[in-house]
Amino acid sequence: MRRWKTAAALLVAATVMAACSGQRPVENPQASTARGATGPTQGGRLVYGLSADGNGFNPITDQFAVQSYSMTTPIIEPLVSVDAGGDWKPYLAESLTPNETYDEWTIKVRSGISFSDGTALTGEIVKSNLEAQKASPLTAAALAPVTAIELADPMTVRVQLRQPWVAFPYQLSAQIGMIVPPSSLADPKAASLKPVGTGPFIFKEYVPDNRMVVTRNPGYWRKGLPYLDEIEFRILPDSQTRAQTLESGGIDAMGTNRDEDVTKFGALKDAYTVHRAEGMSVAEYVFLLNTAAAPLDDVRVRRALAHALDRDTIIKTLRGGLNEPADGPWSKDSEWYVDGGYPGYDLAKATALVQEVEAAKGPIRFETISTPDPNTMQLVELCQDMWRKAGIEVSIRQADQADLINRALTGDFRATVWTSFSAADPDGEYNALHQAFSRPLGEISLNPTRLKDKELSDALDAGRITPDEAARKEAYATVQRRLRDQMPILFIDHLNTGSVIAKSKVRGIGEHTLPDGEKGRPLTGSPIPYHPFAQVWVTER
Amino acid sequence: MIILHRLVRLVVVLLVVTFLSYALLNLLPGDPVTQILGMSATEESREQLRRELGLDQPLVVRYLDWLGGLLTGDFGESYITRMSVGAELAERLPVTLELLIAAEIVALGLAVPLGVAAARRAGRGLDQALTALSFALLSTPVFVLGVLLILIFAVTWNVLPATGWTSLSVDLGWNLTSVILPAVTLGCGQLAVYARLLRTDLIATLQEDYIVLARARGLSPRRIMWRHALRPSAISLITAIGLNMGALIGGTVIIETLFGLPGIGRLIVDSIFSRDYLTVQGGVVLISVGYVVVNFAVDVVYAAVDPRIRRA
Amino acid sequence: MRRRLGIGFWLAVGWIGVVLLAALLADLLPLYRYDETLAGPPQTGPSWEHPLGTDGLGRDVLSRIVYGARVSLGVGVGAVLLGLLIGAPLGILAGYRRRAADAIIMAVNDVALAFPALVFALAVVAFAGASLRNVLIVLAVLGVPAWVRLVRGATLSFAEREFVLAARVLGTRDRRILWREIVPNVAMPAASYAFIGMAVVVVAEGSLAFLGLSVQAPTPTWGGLINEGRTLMETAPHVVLVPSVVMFLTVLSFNLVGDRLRALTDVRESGLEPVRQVTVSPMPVAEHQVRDTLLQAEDVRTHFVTPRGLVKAVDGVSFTLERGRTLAIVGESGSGKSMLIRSILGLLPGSAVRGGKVYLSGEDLTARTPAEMRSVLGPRLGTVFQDPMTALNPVRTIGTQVTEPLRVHLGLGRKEARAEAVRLLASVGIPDPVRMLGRYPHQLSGGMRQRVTIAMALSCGPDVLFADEPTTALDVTIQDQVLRLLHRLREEHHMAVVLVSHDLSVVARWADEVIVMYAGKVVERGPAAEVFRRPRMPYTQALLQAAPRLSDPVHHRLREIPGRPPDLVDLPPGCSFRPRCAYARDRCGQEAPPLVNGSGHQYACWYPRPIETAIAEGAESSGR
Repeated sequence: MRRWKTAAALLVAATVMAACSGQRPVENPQASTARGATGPTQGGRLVYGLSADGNGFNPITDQFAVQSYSMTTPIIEPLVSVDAGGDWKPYLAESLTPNETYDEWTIKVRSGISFSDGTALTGEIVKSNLEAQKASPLTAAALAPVTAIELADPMTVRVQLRQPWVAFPYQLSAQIGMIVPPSSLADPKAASLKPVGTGPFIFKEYVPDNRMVVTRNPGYWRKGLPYLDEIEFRILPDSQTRAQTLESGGIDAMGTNRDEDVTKFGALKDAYTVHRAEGMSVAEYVFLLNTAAAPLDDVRVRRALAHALDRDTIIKTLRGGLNEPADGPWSKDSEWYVDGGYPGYDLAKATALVQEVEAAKGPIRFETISTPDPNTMQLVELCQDMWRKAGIEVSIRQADQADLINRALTGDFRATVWTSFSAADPDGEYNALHQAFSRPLGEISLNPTRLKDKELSDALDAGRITPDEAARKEAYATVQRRLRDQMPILFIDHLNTGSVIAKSKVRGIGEHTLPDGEKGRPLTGSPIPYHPFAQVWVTER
Repeated sequence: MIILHRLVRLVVVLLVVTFLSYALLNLLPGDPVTQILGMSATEESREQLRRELGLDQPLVVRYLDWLGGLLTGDFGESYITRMSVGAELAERLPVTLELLIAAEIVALGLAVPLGVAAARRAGRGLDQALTALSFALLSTPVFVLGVLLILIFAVTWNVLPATGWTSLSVDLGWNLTSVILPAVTLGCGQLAVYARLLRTDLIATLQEDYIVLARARGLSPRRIMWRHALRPSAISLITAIGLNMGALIGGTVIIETLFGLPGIGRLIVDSIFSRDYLTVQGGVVLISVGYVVVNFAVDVVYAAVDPRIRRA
Repeated sequence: MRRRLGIGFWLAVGWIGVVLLAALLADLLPLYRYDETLAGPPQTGPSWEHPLGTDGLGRDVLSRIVYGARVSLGVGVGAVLLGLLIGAPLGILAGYRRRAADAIIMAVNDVALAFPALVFALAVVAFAGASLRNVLIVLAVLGVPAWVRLVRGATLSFAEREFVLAARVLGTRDRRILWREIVPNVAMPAASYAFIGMAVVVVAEGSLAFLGLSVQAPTPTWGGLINEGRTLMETAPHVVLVPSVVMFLTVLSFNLVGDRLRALTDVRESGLEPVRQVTVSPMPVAEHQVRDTLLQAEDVRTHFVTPRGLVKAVDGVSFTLERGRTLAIVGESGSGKSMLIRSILGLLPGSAVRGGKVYLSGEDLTARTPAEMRSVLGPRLGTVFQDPMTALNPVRTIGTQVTEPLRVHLGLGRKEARAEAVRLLASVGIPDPVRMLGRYPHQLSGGMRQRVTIAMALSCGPDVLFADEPTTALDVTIQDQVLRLLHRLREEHHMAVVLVSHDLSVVARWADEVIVMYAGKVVERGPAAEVFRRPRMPYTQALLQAAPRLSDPVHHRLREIPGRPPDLVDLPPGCSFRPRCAYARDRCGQEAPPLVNGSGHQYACWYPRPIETAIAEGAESSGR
């Protein structure tokens, strides 16, 4: 079950990693007002509710979903981090420097850092890590442009690329850039169960499907951190009972994506703080449409589907009015966003398009896939009824996650619900949108909509290789325009109900600084976001 | 002789059940590779991983391979978490077992007195109230009952933990408090069935001559009910317990999900969804063995309860 | 009929009717579409427009309940029926045929039970898709093993019964036996389980919905509605409450109707009918004198209020009994003699109304509460019942059962009680009594069991021993031994014995006095020898002639009393025996004959038989 609840989350997580020099997310007002007059205090224990267990904690072999990041990042740290402005910043790396053509990156590793097993962090270790990632079937596709990894000096690694790649460092801000010691590389199975890293906490205990406990790393390289002595992650898959547990005091904080929780706990300002994900790190709730199979191979049908959906009503009914409607992969507050051209709610237009197509090809009927959790089902049922009103007959097929991914990859679907586009940089969506990754029905296609649009693909290429900010912005503006024109994807909303709710005694969630002093990005990932724990503290209360 | 007969039967049941479930599972769309790699890997990477995991072998070969391992006590290794399936099952079995036993204690502890009370006043107000209660419990799905109980006992009164699990080996007190709500939630549905069964059988028993004679010997109604009538009326109840136990081991998934218990039910269902064939197989073996063992125990209890059965 | 079924039944029928009609006519009713979203504001409570409110998507809850009834009742009834259709024949086959068929069916059943239900459910849904039909099939198939077990168990127990064995021996065709003898009997436990099963199935469908395996959305089902609504439990509780309550009422109604219908068709006293509290004014007791005797029954009456009318099972019986004497009560089955005993002992079913007085050594037993009565039962009044096969608790050892009264009434310790039990068992002629203590009733022969029950009755040294047909179920040769034993014990313990029998010739030898009962009344009484030799009432005479004798030729036709025993609800006017009496005249049909007194030999007959004929008969039978 855990896999349904986060079905889409997993999909997202695989591609979260690429960056964005996105608009800095607006700081959550509640979080800042909750901050007390006194500064952080040392000590204390935090019990943190998560929606699902991770499938192993080895960044090289195990696919990381958002909850995996919550549990692993206190122990294993990445080479790169993203700051509050959405720009990448070195973390375990001291610096990352491209050559002039951006097809070679030099990574200088910070000195004086050791793993909790005593091993010192060196360039050699970073190189072995990257090589292992390059060889792993899990991450090989993402690192496809990498041709060679060399050790320039004991603390410097040089990465050779097949083509210019300006957003490359963003790749290293997540799973791919998380550095484990040689012992973990030598025994990946042990590393899946007992993560070891350079992080502020040390692995203490893990009971699958129940809890993971980490304790303070006394030798952590960032002096004075972490504040907490211990964190217990409690895995509570049912969102309703998880909220009840928070209410009854069984946990101190939890991740959630239910609008009910945001509304309810948000109203109790004295007792709880609510931290919502915003900006580029928010995923979009969408329907993927299979552009290679009838009847959705007809762009008029795809546009009719969009015209029929009243996104405001959907948000009012199912998101407690909390979310913003989406008209593309990036939200309005992102620097990449451009306005206009999305086929908005217009029942008359939808009906007209449907009649036009039906006159030529007969009735429009297709099946959409949904994950079976009640929240998703409700949304799909609402959309189904809206489409019915426009004369499109849609039936719903429930599929578990393995089935769903399999169908998406092989093209055995017409439409499916999906969450995606939470990468920090637009380049993170490259594989999923580029025509080079589109394959015929029946073959594995990393571009699930199978849209072959040259203009869109060229823009994606331009965004990848051009260092110039303005040119990149123009490229991604084209991407958005082409998506709105061709409609391979129906956008519903930006999923910013994804949030962390904590008792007010818990401080510092989403407020942290990076090693070089910049403010870090508050909350990352969806549907339920994660955040660093080194600078979280609890007050006596 | 009987033991041998049972063992043969167990082996046959195991072989058929595991092969069928293995075949069924493999026919489901998607495979562990889909789960491990998600959307991000190319066909070549997928093939590579499939080879690494041995999934390129034909189904029968893989099944026999697994069976061979099983004979040496090796349950194989999870494709997804890379953990030993045996270890994973061993870690979770105590949780589910404790949950089941506690639920049965709750169910029986309430069903027996309620069934007795209802049978004693068959047709009267109390009996009718209990009938209504049984059907109310039967029509309340566990996922509603669980949420309600948490709302009352954890959120409002704050006397029990809402969710979570403390292992028996860590702290007995916490273990017991953490098992109460799930056990009551699970036990309530059973309670209704048990109380109905016991009531019906008791009513029949109470009309037997030996009960009238016991009254003619001046024994108190209480004594007659508990010492004379209860045991001969327990056969259906015991059968139901036996039938349920087997099915419940895998059926606790909803309870385990609601209350965040790391049990077998959740493991199996999650593993089905992630196509983690070998973990599912381990769970299937456990359920089959559990079913056979429980039913062996039921037969023993039968004989203890009704000496007439000992003849057979 | 209406009164008998009760208001609850009709309410239940009404509810089921409403639900079924609504489900059938859903398309014709003025309802919103069940999938019409935003028909009203989401999550609002009941209103005029939406009588049961709206759900999270603003859909009309009433409409979803009504359409959901279609699916849920369809799935509930369908899965149970399908499970029965597959499971019942297999269960009957396994239970009736035994051997290979049983072994194969049960082996398959074992596999089915051991197979994880969820793997199966997932596989079916993943292949065939989530639809009403597939969910129904999954739930039905998952229910089959339980049905097979249940039906097989019931069949097994009936296949061993006398009537079935007899039919098999007589060469009746199996199919006929199955239909006539097995199916009706198996139907009862099956029906009772079916209602529980239905509730379970409807809820299980909801659980499948929880796991995402239910019917194709947005088709509503009750279980699915509850699952959808549970997240709104705090904000809009009606969304989860309404389907829960509807489901509860429906399964409860089905159960109630099933229970009542079963009680109607059940010939046995099912005990499941609600006991109607009858308010009957206490029956007047005739003026009488409390005598200085051991046991005195005065005008004892036992009436039952039945749906068909008042049954006077015992209608004014009086007698007295002294220590060291035996009173025989004789009559056909249904004449009220056993009821008389139970009435005296205060062991009547709840629906009986008792009248008259019983005195034990001058003390009024009828005034005692049940609890006070218990101190008399056992220590002063001992009882032996007809059928030793059913008189002993099958699951307790002889030792526990024999020692129990000793420990309860006499307060003996475990050891003393055992020693006393051994002595008692020895005294009733049981060989190796020490070993006997550890045995179970089924390990003993009928005669041995009856000796045990006698030992139990005697354990506390009673003053009066009631023996209700103590030999009827026994072999002829054992009968005499048991009667002899009773007689010997009477002498040893200096007690009084009340011996009940339908066979006058059997008891005549051991009784001092005889009471002959017919239709709840005493029709003849007197010293045993007198009644036996000179029966005056034609019924007594007929009873004597009906008794089989050892001297009968082998193929002698059994003599019976012509006609049927009277219907106690509808007794003929005048003498109750008139319709069967060869000597009846007009007066017999007009006036009930009183019990006339003739020097201790009383009889209720207008035209008593002359003395001579009876002598010959009696003399013949006593000469064994």
